[in-house]
Amino acid sequence: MKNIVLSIVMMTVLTEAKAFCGFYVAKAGANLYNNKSEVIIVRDGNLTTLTMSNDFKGNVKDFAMVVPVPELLRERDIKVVNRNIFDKIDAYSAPRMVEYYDENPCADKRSYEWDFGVAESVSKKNMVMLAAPSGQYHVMIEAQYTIGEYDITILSAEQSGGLESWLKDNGYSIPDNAKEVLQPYINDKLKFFVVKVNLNNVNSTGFDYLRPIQITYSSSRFMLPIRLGMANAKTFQDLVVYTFTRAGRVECTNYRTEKMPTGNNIPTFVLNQFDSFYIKTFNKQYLRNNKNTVFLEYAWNVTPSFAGVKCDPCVGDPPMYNEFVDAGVSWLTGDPNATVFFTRLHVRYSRNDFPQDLMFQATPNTENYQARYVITHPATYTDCDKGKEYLKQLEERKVDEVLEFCKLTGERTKKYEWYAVNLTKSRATDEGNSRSIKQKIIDMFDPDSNSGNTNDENYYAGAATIGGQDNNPPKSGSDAPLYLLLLPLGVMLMAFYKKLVKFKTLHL
Amino acid sequence: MIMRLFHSISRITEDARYFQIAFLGVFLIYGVHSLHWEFKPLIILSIIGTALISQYAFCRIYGKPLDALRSAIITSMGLSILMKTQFWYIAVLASFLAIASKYFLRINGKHVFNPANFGLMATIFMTKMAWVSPGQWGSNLVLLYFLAAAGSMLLLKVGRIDTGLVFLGTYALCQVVYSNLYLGWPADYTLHKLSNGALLLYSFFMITDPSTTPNNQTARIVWSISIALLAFYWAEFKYMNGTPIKALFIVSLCTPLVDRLCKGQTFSWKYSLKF
Repeated sequence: MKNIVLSIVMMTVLTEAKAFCGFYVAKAGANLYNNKSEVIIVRDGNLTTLTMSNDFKGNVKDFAMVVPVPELLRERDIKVVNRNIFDKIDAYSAPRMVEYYDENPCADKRSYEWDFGVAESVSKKNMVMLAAPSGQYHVMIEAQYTIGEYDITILSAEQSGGLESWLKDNGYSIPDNAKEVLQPYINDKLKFFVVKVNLNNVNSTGFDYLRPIQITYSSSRFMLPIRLGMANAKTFQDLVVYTFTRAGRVECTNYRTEKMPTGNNIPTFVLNQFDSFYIKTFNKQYLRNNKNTVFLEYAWNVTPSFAGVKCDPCVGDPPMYNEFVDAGVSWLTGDPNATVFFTRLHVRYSRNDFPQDLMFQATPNTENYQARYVITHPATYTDCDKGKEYLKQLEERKVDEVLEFCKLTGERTKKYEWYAVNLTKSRATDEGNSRSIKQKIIDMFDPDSNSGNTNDENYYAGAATIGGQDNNPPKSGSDAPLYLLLLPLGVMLMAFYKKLVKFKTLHL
Repeated sequence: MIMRLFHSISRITEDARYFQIAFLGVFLIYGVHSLHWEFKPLIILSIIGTALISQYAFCRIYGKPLDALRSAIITSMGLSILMKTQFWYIAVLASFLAIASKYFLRINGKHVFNPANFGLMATIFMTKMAWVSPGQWGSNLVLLYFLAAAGSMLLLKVGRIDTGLVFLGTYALCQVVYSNLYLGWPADYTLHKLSNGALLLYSFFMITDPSTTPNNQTARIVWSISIALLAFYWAEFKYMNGTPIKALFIVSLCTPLVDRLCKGQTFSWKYSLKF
């Protein structure tokens, strides 16, 4: 059983964990999720290239990572790549906002369309550091390499107890449930790819961060084990998976893959808070889908020779030849017409909701998709007859926008009444008209009928911290129509009814 | 008046296929409504339309009664639920192949493959433009649905539920022994694997198809066990997706031979409901 599992382990070092917990804010657009990891998977037949991003911010001597791998990796299967590739791909595929401008109702036709991209991502990792191995634990060192700033050891173990005590005895706290996962991986004959920083090399790389590690292996199993990363049942982590395949979209085969809502018209005030808007929207979807769903955020044909649009609007440059090569897309060399399809998946996982590792398949689905939200700026000059008409329509549109916004984010509509009402007060001269619109808003904005429940402004911040979901647990709204069951049950009852009738006839 | 209505509705239960149509319809609506499967009316219409037209044509050509149209609806609903494709002509092809296989791939007066299974597999292999999404069901309420379905089917003696139960039992046993006892995963790992809606759909709606299972009961049980073992082996050791469908396709090839060796009564829809 050579071709088995590949798994990423991000175990919590208790001493380090404190430094990782809080939600931190960085420059615009970045650092949306504080427990996030990113991986790039390139899949071609059985050949898989996996690049793991590495946004470690602590003392480099505390950095470590354990990755179970299906086979003994050779030195040439392991690379260290530039972090830029993640930034570029993330910027290209992040959920986006597009701005439109209403035409001036009093003037000739003129239109503007600008676009504006947001929502990136940054991550945080809790990892285990490993010290020098020792023989008494039944842990065998299969190979050792120094590549770039990393010392890499490939281990095999016989018993989780041995591996666990080896880790513990070297000063690392292993989460209690790590054992339940280590043993199955060992039984599955996996090897453990253990990484730590080479303190001599780290300063000579010329980079002020630890670069992503890339490994290539051949395995028929297309999966990304996440189980070891779940340090405790109450924690959830965000994982963004970027994939490149020849044929089409990648989807998860053992969890549901759901698209994020897209194309929604949202109010203009989101302009300055798109990050928090998207996090709330993602939270809402996560809860609605029973916390065990993988979300599609982007899917596009990025074939270099393909002349069509590669994003709409583009929030970052589409990946070019160099990025493909860096990510490990090997099939473009020598075949410039080869196709490449890109998929971005976002999964928020926790121990209880994700009992199995993530398994994927590459489908032939080439349909493009992007998570895209639209804001439309009202026209500024409206002092004419047409302008009054325009303002009336604008009021209604604004109500719709707020309702859409609240439906997406789960916020209470009451809080955003001002968005539609203020404008009426300041611009509309007809008092009666303004009142009727206000009434409409009040009618529509009935806070009790609004299912939104993430009314805490900082919910997203709380949600991103460890245990945040339990501090503020909104109901996960499953909208399964149980009443549908009545249909076949009705047929069944008919059958029984018939049985009774027959029975009667027999006895009569 | 009401009694007459009741009688005419209850006549529907004469044929177990109405029951299946109702269930598959529910799954389709449930999938589109609650699981947000991409609803492509053109694809669904292509599948159902092609199935009905080709079934009608074959009935005319072979001089068979038109009640086979009910089977065609079941086949097309199965395809609509399982098969994903972007193109309507792929849907037409799959649907036509499914119905045609009932007439062209016959041995001993029985068709060899479950029509939906054949249409799906042949289309995936030939065009590579269709696929199956085993993850589309999630694993929440679906389990309940299928249990209700299985329970009522058992009660109504619809189809050959024994094949489905034996298949699922064998598959579950293999999973428990391998995943829990050998590899040492906790119980929820296996439960999550087994509550996969796709697995349950195959178990209760495809493998139970009375027209393509062996007629002899003992043979049928061995047949189901071998599908389960093959599906399990492919899933756990070859890491393939949607293995029950593929296993059913391969094992179906042996059905004519099994029927020749072991005698049994050929199934007829007309007498499927025995009270």
